Amino acid sequence: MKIQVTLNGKKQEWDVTPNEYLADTLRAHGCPSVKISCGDGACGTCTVLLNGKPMVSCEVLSVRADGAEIVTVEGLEEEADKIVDCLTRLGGEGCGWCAPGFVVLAYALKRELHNPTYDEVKAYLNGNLCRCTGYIVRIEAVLEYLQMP
Amino acid sequence: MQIREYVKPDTLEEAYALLMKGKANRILGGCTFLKRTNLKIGTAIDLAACGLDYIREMDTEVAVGAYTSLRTVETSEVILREFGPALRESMEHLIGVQLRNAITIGAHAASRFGFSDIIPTLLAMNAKLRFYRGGVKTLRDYMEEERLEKDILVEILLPKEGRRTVVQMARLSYSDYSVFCLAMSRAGGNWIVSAGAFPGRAKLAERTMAVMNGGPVAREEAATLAENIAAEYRFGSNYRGSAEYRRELCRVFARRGIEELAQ
Ligand SMILES: Cc1cc2nc3c(=O)[nH]c(=O)nc-3n(C[C@H](O)[C@H](O)[C@H](O)COP(=O)(O)OP(=O)(O)OC[C@H]3O[C@@H](n4cnc5c(N)ncnc54)[C@H](O)[C@@H]3O)c2cc1C
Ligand code: FES
Ligand code: FES
Repeated sequence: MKIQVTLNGKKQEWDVTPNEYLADTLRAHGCPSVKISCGDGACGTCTVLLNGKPMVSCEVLSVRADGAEIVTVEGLEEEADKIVDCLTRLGGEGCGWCAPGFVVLAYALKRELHNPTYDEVKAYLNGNLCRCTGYIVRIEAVLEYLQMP
Repeated sequence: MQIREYVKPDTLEEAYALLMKGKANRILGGCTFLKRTNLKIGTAIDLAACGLDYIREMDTEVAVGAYTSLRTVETSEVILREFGPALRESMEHLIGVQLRNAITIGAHAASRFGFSDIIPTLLAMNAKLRFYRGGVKTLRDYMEEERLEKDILVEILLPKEGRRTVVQMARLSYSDYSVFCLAMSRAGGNWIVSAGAFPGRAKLAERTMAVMNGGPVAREEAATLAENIAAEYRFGSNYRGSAEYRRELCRVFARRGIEELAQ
């Protein structure tokens, strides 16, 4: 099936099957930042923005993205730099595997929550697992990112 | 799941006709459960264009469209204002925002999942379900139905009865499935008590509810009533907890719930 999407601001046409998931399709269309870890909706490494909302792309059938706007880390350059800067300064970086999904989620958080508390940030980030860094520095990094213009 | 053909109808009429056209045809919610099944789906029917993503406030109830995501429900100011935080609390442990943006409340309720915290909470909120073909029925009746007819859940109706609802859950880690869930509500002298994840399809503690609804409930009766509530369920054991542990959780949660709501 042919579908039209806007990926990181650019219109594209994709040919997809009804059994294909968005995470795979995105990787096949120039977005290697989209990582597939659990492939099961549980870890958040495949998080992208779908029509402005953070979504686990391994759970979304690609055909359902027809007409959608999709944003991955490749489309978030400036904001991604800010988030990664906060992470590295506070010691919140590790192997980097979970980082693209985390960056997209942190960006979504900034757009969705206004003046969130520590606990609200913690709850929002819950769907992104990290094997390396521990979670406290990541929460602190996001709190710093929220202070940035 | 394996899908042969994907269709996105514009109306419920069309969606229902497609559903009835073949035994293997299925409605898609967020697909987060379907994805895990071995189902061979003939026509996969996407409800995305059927206008079922809404929360509408009316005089006597709030209607939640079946295609509304859990995230939309948990962040709804109308639901919080009218019914308090119980429904949000019943879903906020479910992994993360990114998954709850994908899951639809209608699919969850229609599936009668035995591990759900959301369904016992909706039961305690006295929710009704509107089906395309079957019309309106109480969630309580739907949970008891032996054989479900093929149908499309259109919306969940939450009656504005001034009901105060509390939900209590126990889990081994923050995002895990519950070991046990108990929801309880009170509107004036009317009480509803429901449990889920015992493990099994959520149901009401009907006998004890009849006693509680027969006269005023005093805080001092909480322990005895909680004992009776626990006696109504057949608890099971699995790797999350033993039947005895769940029975104890039920006693404690029921006592706390009655003490809180009897005030
Ligand atoms: C990683 C992970 C962790 C989870 N953890 C929990 C947890 O902690 N607690 C918990 O309760 N659940 C948990 N779940 C299960 C989750 O609740 C279900 O996967 C989800 O509710 C299914 O919703 P969906 O919209 O994706 O439905 P789908 O998978 O699309 O559909 C489920 C069923 O509902 C039917 N259906 C869909 N829409 C309708 C409709 N309008 N009318 C009639 N039938 C319909 C479908 O045909 C299908 O049979 C978890 C799932 C995942 C992937
Ligand atoms: S790969 Fe999608 S949630 Fe883990
Ligand atoms: S930095 Fe390695 S998994 Fe998160």
